[in-house]
Amino acid sequence: MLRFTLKRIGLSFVTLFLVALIVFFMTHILPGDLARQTLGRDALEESVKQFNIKNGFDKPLLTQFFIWITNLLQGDLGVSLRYGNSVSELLAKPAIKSAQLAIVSLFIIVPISVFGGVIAAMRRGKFTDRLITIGGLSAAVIPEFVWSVILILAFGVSFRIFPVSAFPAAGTGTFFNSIYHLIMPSTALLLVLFGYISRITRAGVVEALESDYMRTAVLKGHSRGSAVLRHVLRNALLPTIAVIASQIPYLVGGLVAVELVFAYPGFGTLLLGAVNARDFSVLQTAVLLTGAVIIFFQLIADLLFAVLNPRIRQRVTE
Amino acid sequence: MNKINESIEEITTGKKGFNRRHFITGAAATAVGASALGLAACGNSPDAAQDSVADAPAELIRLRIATQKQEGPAAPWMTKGGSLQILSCVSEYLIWLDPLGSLEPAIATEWKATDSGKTWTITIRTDVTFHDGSPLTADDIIYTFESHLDEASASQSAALLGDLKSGSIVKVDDTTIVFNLEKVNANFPYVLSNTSYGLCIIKSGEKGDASWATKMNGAGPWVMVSHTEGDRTLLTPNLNYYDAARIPQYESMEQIQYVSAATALPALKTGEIESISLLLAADAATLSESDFTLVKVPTCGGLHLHMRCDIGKFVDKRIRQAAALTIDREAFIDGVLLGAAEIANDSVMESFKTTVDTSVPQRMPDIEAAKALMAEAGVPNGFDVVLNTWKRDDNDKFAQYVKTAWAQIGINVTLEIDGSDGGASVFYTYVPYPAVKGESPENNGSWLACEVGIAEWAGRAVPDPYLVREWRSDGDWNAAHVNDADIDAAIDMWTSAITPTDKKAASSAIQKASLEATPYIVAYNETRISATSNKIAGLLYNAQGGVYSSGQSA
Repeated sequence: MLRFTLKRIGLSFVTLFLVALIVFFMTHILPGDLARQTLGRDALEESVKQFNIKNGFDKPLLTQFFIWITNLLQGDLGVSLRYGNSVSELLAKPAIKSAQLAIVSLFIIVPISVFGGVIAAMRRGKFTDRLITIGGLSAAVIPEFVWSVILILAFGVSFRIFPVSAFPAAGTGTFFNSIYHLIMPSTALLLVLFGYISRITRAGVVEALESDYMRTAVLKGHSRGSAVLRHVLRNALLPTIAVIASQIPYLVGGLVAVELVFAYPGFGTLLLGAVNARDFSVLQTAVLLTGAVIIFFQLIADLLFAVLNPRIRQRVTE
Repeated sequence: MNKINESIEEITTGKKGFNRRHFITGAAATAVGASALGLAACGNSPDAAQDSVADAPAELIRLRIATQKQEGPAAPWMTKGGSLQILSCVSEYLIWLDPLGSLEPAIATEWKATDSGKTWTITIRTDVTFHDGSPLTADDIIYTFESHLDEASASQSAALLGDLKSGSIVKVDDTTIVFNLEKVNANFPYVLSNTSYGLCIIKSGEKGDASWATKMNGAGPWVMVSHTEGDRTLLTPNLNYYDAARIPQYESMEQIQYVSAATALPALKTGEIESISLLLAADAATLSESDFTLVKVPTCGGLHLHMRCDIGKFVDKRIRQAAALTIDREAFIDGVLLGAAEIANDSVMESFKTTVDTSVPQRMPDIEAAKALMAEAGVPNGFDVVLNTWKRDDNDKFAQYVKTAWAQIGINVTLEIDGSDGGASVFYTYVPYPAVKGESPENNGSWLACEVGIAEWAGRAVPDPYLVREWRSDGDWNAAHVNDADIDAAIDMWTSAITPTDKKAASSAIQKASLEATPYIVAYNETRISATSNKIAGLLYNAQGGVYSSGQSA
């Protein structure tokens, strides 16, 4: 297992380096004149020249890449071309905000989806099962921004149960109020992820319900519910946990549409703004960080899969 | 009668002599000034709104307003779209152009021209302080303008000060400053006003670059408490503001940046925010007037479609005239813009009501005449052309409409629309050039180089920026590359005219020369719509979207 883990960590670093390489060169092939875009329409030619020298844009692309990587490794994320302040400062708040949204979403999505999956498995073939599986799948095919708009119109504008903004007003950002503001965006994400997670859970539970140890547990006198709680969930949920781990990067960096609809200043919004403004320093670092998060949680998911399934472990180490 | 009407009355009837407030005839019908007429017409005058709540008990509330996304830092040297609303709150200017279009004293208590408007003497007040408590002095003012003129600061407002050279601003004493211009500019006080929002006064020695946005040490009616770039800004009233009547009567103001006004609408409807400054007519139509005050502000801003006069297929003015004759302006305004615009006549003078020559005939759609002109120009079957613009709501729609309209006379348009934020990827990248006769930058699809393009222009207090930068042959933003002696002469008449009569004559000459040459199709001028909860008073916006808070609250 140690060999497998080390190998996967090594591969993660290689992947991260490739991501950095691709991100850097992809951002630099975007059309547009960065200096003019940053300095504005009135900038003098001399100012444009100075801007390019100051930011190292006059150097060959490969040199720029190595300067960027070296600075990055030294903890210097650079300066935003758009706003002029440090990238680390710009990224910090949105990253925290996205993490908050991801955590609240997970606390809503995981129990509900797992519960739905278990219920569907225990009612296999019955109306409840069909309702959960078909309903979940149907909800999942509708994009999250559509759900966001529907939720806003229904629970925000019509019934006024939840706020339509995901971020409380200045001075009112208490712990519970902040969570209250995140319920609607989290619900939009629940509707998208419920079908997937509940199906994985259902499959695991169904398999476990048919296992010998389940029969043994029942024969030993456990009730069906008790047996599921004590024996089935422990085994059946492991694949679900791995699937959830693989969804975390999406919850951290992939929620552009939800963030925009709910006016939430998260990582996705920052990324989109950086793309649109060709703010290379922010864009490169933000994408790299998103990549790092994806790779990290993918690593966790892989390790969990390996823990669950020794055959995977064996295959990778061979 | 509001100030604008009063002003117009005085100018047109000559009831009063020429004074400080009326030193420019065009002044009375500035972008925002003209809006006052619109305000009165739609029955939602800010005056009325304010009067109706004048007796309401003062209640300090936390005001939240939706603003545009910043395109750059809220810093005086680096002003870009979205920063305006922040700067208009934290900063102080020499002169205020109030939402009704009057130039009002701010730091400058008085301004007067000598030498026919080539020298401007400004008298300043001495009781203004920056937010850090230090007094705002004549030295700070001179430093501010010199810093913009310094190439090292790469100020994006430097072009506004084209008539000034470094060293030409002289401190006479602690309260008197003289601006010595390179040439006559009767509209110079407008340059100094808050519509030039980058020209807010900064403390001597402080940089107006991105570092300024971390503290925002201005002298305006609001003090920055916290600011997150591209997201939100929390402001609190400046209790030391020199004009006690304009100290905001709110506990705080939170400016929240939305990607579009449409995304902010649900928050407005549910009371999570109190106001949106720039709404599309279709969005505004969803708001109930019993809950919201909708202020419709006609501006002189809008879309200018240029046709290259120096190269390509539009060199012959008859073709440009024919193209303009295909545009059914009224139908577009009514059908597409839901009435949220005023018809224009292919010049930039129509919005300036006190000076516009209304006898100049409005260009109306006439396909037969257009076809005849095309035949005369030797292209009866039309030709293929590429039209460049960027993906902005109005630009898109107007470009599509032009494609359809021009097809009627055989001009087959291929649209190339830059999808990047603010057209930054292709359309608004270019090598700046003075439009010297004979120079023809390669057509790379960018604004100043493309054969046909649509650029949006924000509302201005006076037409001078359009005329000098876009319409004059040596203008740096002369996208049509027009080099027309009549237009140049008319613009020179305008910039040097001081009396109302001279201004009117100059406007008339510009209008006629513009129609004749038709380097640009200016089909309409935008009407900007803001919506504010009826519970709120004392919050107004100018034509650019700048926030103007009078000392009232709710």
